[in-house]
Amino acid sequence: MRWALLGEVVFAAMTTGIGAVVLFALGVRGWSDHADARKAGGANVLGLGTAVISFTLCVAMVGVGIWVIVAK
Amino acid sequence: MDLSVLVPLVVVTALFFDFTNGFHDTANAMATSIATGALRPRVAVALSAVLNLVGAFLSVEVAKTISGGLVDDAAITPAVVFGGLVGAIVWNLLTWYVGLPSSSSHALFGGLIGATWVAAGGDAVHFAKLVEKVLVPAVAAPVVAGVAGALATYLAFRITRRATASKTPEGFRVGQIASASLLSLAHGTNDAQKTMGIITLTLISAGTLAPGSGPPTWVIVSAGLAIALGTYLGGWRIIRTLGKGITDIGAPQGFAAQTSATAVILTSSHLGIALSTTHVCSGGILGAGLGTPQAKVHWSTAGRMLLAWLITLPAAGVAGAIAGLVAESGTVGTVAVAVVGVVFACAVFAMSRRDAVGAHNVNDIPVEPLEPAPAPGGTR
Repeated sequence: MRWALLGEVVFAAMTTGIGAVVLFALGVRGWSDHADARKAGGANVLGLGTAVISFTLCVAMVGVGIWVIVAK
Repeated sequence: MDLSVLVPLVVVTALFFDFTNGFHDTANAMATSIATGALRPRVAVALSAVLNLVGAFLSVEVAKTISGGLVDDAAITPAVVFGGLVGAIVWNLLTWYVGLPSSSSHALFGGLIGATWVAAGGDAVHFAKLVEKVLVPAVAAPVVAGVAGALATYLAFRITRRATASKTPEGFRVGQIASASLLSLAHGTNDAQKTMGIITLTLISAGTLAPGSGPPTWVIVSAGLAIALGTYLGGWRIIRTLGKGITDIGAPQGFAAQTSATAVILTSSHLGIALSTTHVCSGGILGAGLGTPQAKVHWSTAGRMLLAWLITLPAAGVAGAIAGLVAESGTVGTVAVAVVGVVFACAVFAMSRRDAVGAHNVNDIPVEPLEPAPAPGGTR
């Protein structure tokens, strides 16, 4: 049994699994904050920036996912 | 044994296994999206079917061995493959009927091990490989996915707890569609190729194809269509168990469970250890339930699911052994197994009609209602 590989897989899988969700949640939070500010007639640049960066990274993760599938 | 009867029978049986694999595993990709309303049931299974079909064409790097090294390949004859496939189909149909998610790959391995054992003896089974490739990953998969799902759900709630109520579920539902689509694509690539590999290697062993040949176009197309058709028909009974039977799933939990499971599957596969999609997705949903503040997990359903996982390999093995033993006796035995198999499949389908589960009632709760889980922003 290749325990070292299994450990590596467990660590990497958990990191990406939790990381992807956290990233998207940050985007949702940022987008929501920005939408609230707009409703009040203003803007939340930090929220918008967080949303744009988070969602862009999520799209990139989807791209990597497709690459992993196709490259097999 | 008359190969002109056996080989077409193996091809048809492999395609039927592919079909059951499709409808058995639709739940893995789509159960949470259907449960949270991110996708309407029919749209979800149609999307998953199309992506499974596309996935089947993305790569033709089919398996070099039928069993993945779990048994001695020299002992694998078309009759053994036939017995193994019958064993896997029997187990897939039974677990589908009772609405329990179980691994189609483990069922196939179990069936092949059972059929090989009776044909060539216990020495032909590589037990060390069995532990390394099946048993350890089977334990690791739900634990990894469960912990990832629980932590991801907890963090998603923490991050979005002060977010606007209407935006949060909407955002998570969109994310769910992306991760479910990715998982469907991966499923089509992996599982349709498994069937392509079985058919191709059987045709090579019968001399129909030259050694080292890749799958002919008709094999690729028929395997892709079989898994897509199975996916489209939707294993509604299992979708209901995963979506509504384990825990109450709102959009954040559904997204966290689905996305963490997809990431775990793709990462582990890329690094060289293939974890069962069924075990990972089920573990992710269980974890999402545990990670939700005040949410309840329906442990009786989770326990039944765990039991099904434990007995998948031996149960499919016994069925595969019996089918293989009879099929090894000659053409009459092979045809007899095929007839009994068809009658069994028809009986299971007929029994399932008595309490039919479909797109219309897939979101009905099959067990006693759970306490609704809170949602960030105060709405569900």
